[in-house]
Amino acid sequence: MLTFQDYSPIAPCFYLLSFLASLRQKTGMVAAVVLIVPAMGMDVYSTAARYYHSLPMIPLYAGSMALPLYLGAVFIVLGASRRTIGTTGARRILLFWATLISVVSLLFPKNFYLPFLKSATVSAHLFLGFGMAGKACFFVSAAWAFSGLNESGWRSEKDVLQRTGKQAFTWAAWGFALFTISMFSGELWSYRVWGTPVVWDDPAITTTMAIWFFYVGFLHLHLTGSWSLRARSLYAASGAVAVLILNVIPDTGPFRWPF
Amino acid sequence: MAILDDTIMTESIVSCVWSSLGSVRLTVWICLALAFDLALGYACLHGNSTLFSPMNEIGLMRWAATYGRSNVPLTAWFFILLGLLFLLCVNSFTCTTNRVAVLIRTRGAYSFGKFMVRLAPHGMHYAMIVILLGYLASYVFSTVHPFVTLVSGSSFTIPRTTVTVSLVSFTPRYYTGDRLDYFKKRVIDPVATLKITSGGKVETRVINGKKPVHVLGHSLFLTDFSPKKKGGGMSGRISIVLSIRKDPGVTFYMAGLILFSVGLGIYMVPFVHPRNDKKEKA
Repeated sequence: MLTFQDYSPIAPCFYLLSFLASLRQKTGMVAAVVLIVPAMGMDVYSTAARYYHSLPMIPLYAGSMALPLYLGAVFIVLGASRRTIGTTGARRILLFWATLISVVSLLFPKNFYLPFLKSATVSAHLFLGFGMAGKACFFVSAAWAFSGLNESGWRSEKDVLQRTGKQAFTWAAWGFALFTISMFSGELWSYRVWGTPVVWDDPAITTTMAIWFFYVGFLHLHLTGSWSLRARSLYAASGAVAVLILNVIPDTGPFRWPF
Repeated sequence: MAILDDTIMTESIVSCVWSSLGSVRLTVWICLALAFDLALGYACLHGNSTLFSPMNEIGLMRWAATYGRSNVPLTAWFFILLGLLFLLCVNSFTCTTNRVAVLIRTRGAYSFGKFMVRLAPHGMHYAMIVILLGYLASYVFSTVHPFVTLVSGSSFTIPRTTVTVSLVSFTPRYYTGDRLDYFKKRVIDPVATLKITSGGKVETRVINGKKPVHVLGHSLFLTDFSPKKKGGGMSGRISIVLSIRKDPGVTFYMAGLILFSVGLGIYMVPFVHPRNDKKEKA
């Protein structure tokens, strides 16, 4: 019987096919939605399997594996919602991120660590779940910003950047709220189990705080109208790179050929 | 006349410094600097956590004087972090206080709901300052007894108190299922019963790995135990390891966390129920 690890190459393949399909102008998006469903299905299976083999503890370094699932869900929801300038571009970019993260997780897995006993708490599970949701929102925010920067080249720049900028800000605000809940849950977990809200054994604590301050800066930038629309969009777009480097890459391990 | 001019100039300088410190542009640059410094911190911390983990036991001042000072290339980012956090607190306080003053002065222009939504971010800013002050108090003023090992029959008296802790029994729950191969016959839930004597009063408290026991301002955390497997351990002798902490910062950062969360919840209300601007304008 195939294990969940054997299924894992299927998800990145379908994400890639979905992304390539979305590049077609006419029926591309419909094909992309059809193709992303099996990818998300495999991710649900993989994530559920990881959890099954970890509960009541949390599966370690599972965040990046489940992230494409959140991005795929947003891709589908955006397709069903009212279209506005930048929606198609943002959806394509979301598929690109989902494909990239899925491929990276496949080729550089970090699934060889056993769960540890101290993670068998409710706050640990909240830390993991809300953290993934927050990071997904940051990627969506960046997708809107990228889309706006791309489309503003051939439409009225101010109009496009204002509309996509508003979407980027809304998603960043949601990401900030969810990420903050994750951080606070992590601090509570750390205090109750280790006696201190910050434990220096895991360097990921610094990258978590780095992303938090990055988006604190972005929220202040947007609320005060400092910097130009284009500069703010660039800031939001660079958030995806920051999350990728600071949160996704640290969740990866050494190269492992999956076949 | 000259004295009046000096006073006016001093007030003008103070006012200028106050508004500069409260600038939101400064906030953005401080946040970016913090993000960059913390990213650098990841590189320094990775593989060198043994340099930083003693900070939780010996406190910030002793750590800075020992580990911090002796390994500056790897610890400099942390000192920069402290400086940036201090600057952020000053900036947040001045900016937030200015805006709250304006908000209170113009209170009459808003409904209660809108006023709370506008006040919420400022509550979050003050909460962040409280959280950071709590962390500072924790790292500077905590008293920690990190590796208190108890075996059956042994006891430990917390220094400068009359509190004595001894191990009565260790009754863990073992994993008996098949789903977690690596946990077969291993302890899945460590539970120990402690006898706590304080000023003639004796009480029995149960401690496990997920929740501390609080005694007269001290918190006891179960950090390790042996044996980890049924019938295991080198001599089969049962022992537990406690970390005993007296932390004055806990109240502050927990209060700050709650206040921040409340402010965040109120701040997000317009995102959950966005108002229709066109309808309102009509």
